[in-house]
Amino acid sequence: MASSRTAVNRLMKEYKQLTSQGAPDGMFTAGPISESDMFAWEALIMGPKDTPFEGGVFAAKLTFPHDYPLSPFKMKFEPPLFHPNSEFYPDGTVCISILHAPGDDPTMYESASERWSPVQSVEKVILSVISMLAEPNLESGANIDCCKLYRDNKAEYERIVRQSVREQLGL
Amino acid sequence: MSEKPLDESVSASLEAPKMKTTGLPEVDDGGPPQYATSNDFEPLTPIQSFEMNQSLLEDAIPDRPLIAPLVPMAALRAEYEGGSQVFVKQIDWLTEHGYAGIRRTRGDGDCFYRSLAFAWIGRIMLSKDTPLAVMSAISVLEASQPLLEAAGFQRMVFEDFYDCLVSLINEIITPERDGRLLTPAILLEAFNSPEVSNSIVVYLRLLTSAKIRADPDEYAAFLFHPEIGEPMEVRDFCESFVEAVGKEADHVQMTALTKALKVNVSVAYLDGHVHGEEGKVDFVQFKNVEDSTIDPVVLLYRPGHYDILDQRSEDALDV
Repeated sequence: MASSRTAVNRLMKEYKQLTSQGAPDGMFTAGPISESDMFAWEALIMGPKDTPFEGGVFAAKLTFPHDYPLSPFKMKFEPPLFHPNSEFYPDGTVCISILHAPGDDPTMYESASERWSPVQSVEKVILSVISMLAEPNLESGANIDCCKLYRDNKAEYERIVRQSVREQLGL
Repeated sequence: MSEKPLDESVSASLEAPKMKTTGLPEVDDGGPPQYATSNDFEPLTPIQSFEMNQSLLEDAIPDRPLIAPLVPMAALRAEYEGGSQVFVKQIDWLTEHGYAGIRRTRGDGDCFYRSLAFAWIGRIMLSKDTPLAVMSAISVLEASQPLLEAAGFQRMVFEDFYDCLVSLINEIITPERDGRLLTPAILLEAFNSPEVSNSIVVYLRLLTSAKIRADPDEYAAFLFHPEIGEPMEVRDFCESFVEAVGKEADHVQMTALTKALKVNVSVAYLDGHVHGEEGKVDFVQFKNVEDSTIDPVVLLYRPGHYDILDQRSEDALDV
């Protein structure tokens, strides 16, 4: 299929770069689930230090379109994360602005910046997801209960996050 | 894509009678649709509003080829016959001044970049000294790579797009693996393949951004948010309104890109204004080289949209 040659080339390059240089501070790993399909990746993200996510390892599936990098990929945490922001859907789908093309605006109030463009990459997207894990943005909070909890009872919020981290680790 | 480009003039004339109340040109380009205040969306979940937005966007982009075959100016004239006579006169003025044909482009926000790339390559093919024109174009593009790297774009990000553009230009004089050279029909086909066409658009967007970033003093005073009108930082402007696919080009982007490509471009403004002589059309010139081996690219601007003007009224047949 001619229309995916650019995508495969680019994904190979990103994969090589990630495996040869590694992610900054070893914060995540990412690569194709099987060498036979470059369009389905898995990422393993370490919970950022000094956050309740610390110690957790979060798995996400990355699904690439055939016109990548002209169009963005999709990212879904499996299992889903407990997080106050609307960008983390209850089903685990990650919906941050950097994963949306300009003009394709699911929440209407995002600024035009930090949108998907071919300048972005797997690494840049995962790094923004990690920074969002560390610092929830209540302005865009959709999980209202989780937001209230974060604001009013941070200790309880952190306890629930830590508990969910332990559950994911099977402890 | 299932467009039938030959029906273009027919469908255009069928559209003509509707919605002519304002007398303004009907241009079906445009960025994202405008929305009412965000309060209207409160009862919707993000997924619902996302889907609503997507369907609005899809409605806003007509089913038109990325770049259409040349058609006589009469096809454009037919669209305005029931409306403003000023536009009709301006179209007649263009026809009388040697512009016999128009090549439409899809109004997807990339029309300036796509039109410029297509028309530029077309001009190189028609050059009196084609090998020289090809070599100048390629040397300009080769020199653009360090500019992109200096702007902070990784080679990995742009090299596939670069290769796509350069190999197309190379094909004008160097046969492809199958032994064929680039013909007008192959060029048109390539520009209607979304992968090729959009890769070229992306390269030109990155080049425009790199040029603005490389010379902030020259451009900073002209960087305004296109909707709000507020001044913007170079980086924010480039990320939001240059690199982002689907964002319209304005004068700043046009100046930067035509300068980076060292190409002369002339833009006819079909704006419905009366300027002295009846129907006279103003041209804005982007002149970047003396003694170019190629004729200037000529584009037609109607508010929010760019098409290509041509002295010919239909495409040359491949021999």
